[in-house]
Amino acid sequence: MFSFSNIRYGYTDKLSLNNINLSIKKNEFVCLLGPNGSGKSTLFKLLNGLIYPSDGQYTFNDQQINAHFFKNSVNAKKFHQQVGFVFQNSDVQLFNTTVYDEIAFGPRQMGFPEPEVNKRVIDCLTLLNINKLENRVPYHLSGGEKKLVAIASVLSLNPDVLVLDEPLTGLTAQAQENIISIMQGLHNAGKTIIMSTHNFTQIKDYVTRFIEFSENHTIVLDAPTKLVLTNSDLMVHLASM
Amino acid sequence: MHIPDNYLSPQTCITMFVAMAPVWAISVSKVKVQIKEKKETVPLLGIASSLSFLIMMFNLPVPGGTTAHAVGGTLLAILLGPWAASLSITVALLLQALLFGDGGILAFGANAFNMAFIMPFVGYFIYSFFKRFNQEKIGAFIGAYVGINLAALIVAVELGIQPLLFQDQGGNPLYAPYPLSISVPAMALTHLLVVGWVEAIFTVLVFSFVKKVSPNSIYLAGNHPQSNVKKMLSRFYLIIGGLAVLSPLGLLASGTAWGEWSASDILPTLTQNGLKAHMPAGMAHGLDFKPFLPDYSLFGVSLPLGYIFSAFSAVIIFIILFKLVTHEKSKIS
Amino acid sequence: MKNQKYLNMPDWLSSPENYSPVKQKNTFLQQNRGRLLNLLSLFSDKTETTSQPLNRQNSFIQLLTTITLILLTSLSRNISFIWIIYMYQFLQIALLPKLNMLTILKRIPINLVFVLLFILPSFFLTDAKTVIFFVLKTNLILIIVSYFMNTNTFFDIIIVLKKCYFPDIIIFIIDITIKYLKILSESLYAMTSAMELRSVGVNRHQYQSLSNLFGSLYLKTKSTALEMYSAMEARGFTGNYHFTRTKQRLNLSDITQTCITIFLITLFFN
Ligand SMILES: Nc1ncnc2c1ncn2[C@@H]1O[C@H](COP(=O)(O)OP(=O)(O)OP(=O)(O)O)[C@@H](O)[C@H]1O
Ligand SMILES: [Mg+2]
Repeated sequence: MFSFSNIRYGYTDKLSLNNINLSIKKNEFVCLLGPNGSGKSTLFKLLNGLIYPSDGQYTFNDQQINAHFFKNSVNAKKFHQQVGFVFQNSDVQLFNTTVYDEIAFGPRQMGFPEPEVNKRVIDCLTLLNINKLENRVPYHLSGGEKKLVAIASVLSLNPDVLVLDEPLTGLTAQAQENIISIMQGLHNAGKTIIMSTHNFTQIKDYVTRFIEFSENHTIVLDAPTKLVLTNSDLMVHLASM
Repeated sequence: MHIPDNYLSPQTCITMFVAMAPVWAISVSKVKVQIKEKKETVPLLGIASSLSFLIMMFNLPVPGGTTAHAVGGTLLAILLGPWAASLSITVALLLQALLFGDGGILAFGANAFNMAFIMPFVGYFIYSFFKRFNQEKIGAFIGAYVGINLAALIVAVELGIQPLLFQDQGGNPLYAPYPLSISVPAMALTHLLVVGWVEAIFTVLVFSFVKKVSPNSIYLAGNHPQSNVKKMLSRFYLIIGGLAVLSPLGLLASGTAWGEWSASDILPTLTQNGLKAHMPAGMAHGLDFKPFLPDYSLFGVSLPLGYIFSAFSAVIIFIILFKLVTHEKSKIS
Repeated sequence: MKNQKYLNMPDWLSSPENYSPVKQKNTFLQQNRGRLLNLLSLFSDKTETTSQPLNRQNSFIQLLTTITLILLTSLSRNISFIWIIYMYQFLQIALLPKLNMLTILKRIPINLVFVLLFILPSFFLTDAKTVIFFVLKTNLILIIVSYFMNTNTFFDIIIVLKKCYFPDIIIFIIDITIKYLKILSESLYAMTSAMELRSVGVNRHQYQSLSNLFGSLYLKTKSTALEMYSAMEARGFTGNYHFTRTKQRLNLSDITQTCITIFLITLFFN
């Protein structure tokens, strides 16, 4: 589905991604780990077409993803519907005046009739257990609430691929468990999930593959969970991050 | 709306600086009072000018596939108060000129006059007028629309008088070459039809958002809003009056008031002020000046006047549309 | 699979979406994102130029020279004089490091297009000579300004403004403006990206959404201002702003530049 070959990227002269080679297949559940500033969020931005590699190739479903691809609005819109992205900082992701409108933003654009939009919104609210926020103003929500609304507003697009940058940070244990089970449910339904976290232990039983970034912005480990779970040294290393 | 250098003569630029100086002086003193009451005003002003900068660089879509940008003069005046807005926009314009080459350095005074004075003050005045009748949104809309159009008209006049006042021996223009008969309709057409709407819609929507989400984040003029508006208005007239005295462009002796000179007057006045005296070609052919503005006319209405008329007509049409739309909405909900 | 029991996936969410967007020429979000990215890159580029000690000229002298040159160019009616200033400017540009040289030169064609768009219709009003003269002068001024912009950083310009004896409060505002311009642009950039990612079809309330971005930005601005003020107060800020007005020493290149400018002024009045 996704394929990166020899990707390099730098915001300035300093590289933030160095020689990334990676391919992700449909219906994988991938988790990125790595220290702060190692390049996880940068990879996600690249994956979502917000930035383009300085060097190397990125393809999605065998289609080269670059500035030219996004020049075509049909391509861009289809791509953004297929790949949903929950930002690390959900503060910047919310711009509507009510939570309802926030979640309805995507489905409305897709041209669904209002009853269908309403169904999607209510389903998402229920799924994330935030029905009581329906008429609140996103701007005034707490950090954790904003994160949940941001996730709901991406889910309502029903993307094939869900990319979540640290979806669990800042949430209560109960909300975290709920998010994990939603990701798992989507995974079971055939969707591809790519996430990042700093808490290996919490998700090790659900994801299918781990990728570890190092401080030099390279991938130092890329292994299926089965393999990781049988290597106790590796387990200790990842859990201590 | 940002006038680059060399479009206006240095003489015009200096006049505009002189005109803007009292506005800046009063703004600083006004804002100092505001700071005494609310100390956080200082950081707010700085951050507001970066906001103003961003508003001016953000392209908004316009029907037909192109884009335009808002200035946000009226919006900031409503949110922060006109004096604070004036200072913030001034700083934003200064940085644009010095750091990004947007708008001229010599023309900075003129640009500030148009965008950091006319626009916020006119816009705010209209807004506070409508506010008295609890029609803040209409006020914000019309304020923004009229504010930007008035500023555009002034830009058009600034540009349009250049070929009249500054010509070489051969009667060829030295700076912006288009006379009022071209500059006014060109600015009018783009601003009445497109840019004005962009500014107005943007202003009213941002205003509504802020009002809905955080109503106490909007500037409240002191305890006596009315007297404040009056004071503000009297200052505004004072500055406009001062400008009228300075005009035209500080070049003409005080004996003749702006616009009342005729072709026979202008020659000695120009010579008096050290300009190479040559009868501008157009004037030599017997074009005399009527009071206030040259007699360029469109269907018998002088152009700047025609512009003002069109703006008012658009405003009236808008009020009617707005009433119709809001009425319909309230029926539904 | 322990959490599965209380999770009720809606049908639409567990089946693939068959969505095909309608074609629409609408790339202004991408456009704006690009512009913001340019703005942000300017911040980092500028800081890098500072570290190059090659053109450490006194910024105040540079600003004065720049304004004088613009004024002379604007007032001049003599083609030879304009030519001399062109030569002087290009000589200065030629002495810059290659990277700075390129940034200045790259701007010229873009500037020319704008000037030409503005002036070309006036061919019908005046003669070709006037039009060419106008283009030459306007272009020269833009080159003079780009040279100034390229050899001075934000920080230099603040110092210059302090030298100009602006009121302290203005300098303070400018200081904060520059600091927050970066932060707010980053914020706006992120919000624009987020909106772009969820703009998967036709937005019938485009202006509403865009205005909401700026509304949120304003509110964030306001709360940032409050936070910043409390932080300043916590560090003993009393509401007075005083700046030490630093002195920059003059070096040989400043003196040369001043002499050349004075020479150009005398030339102008001949
Ligand atoms: N907008 C930016 N401009 C310049 N440098 C940036 C920018 N964003 C990130 N970087 C740099 O790129 C590198 C990678 O950052 P990134 O955000 O991808 O890290 P991360 O792995 O997501 O970290 P965290 O776990 O803290 O979220 C860091 O060194 C960071 O300083
Ligand atoms: Mg990150």
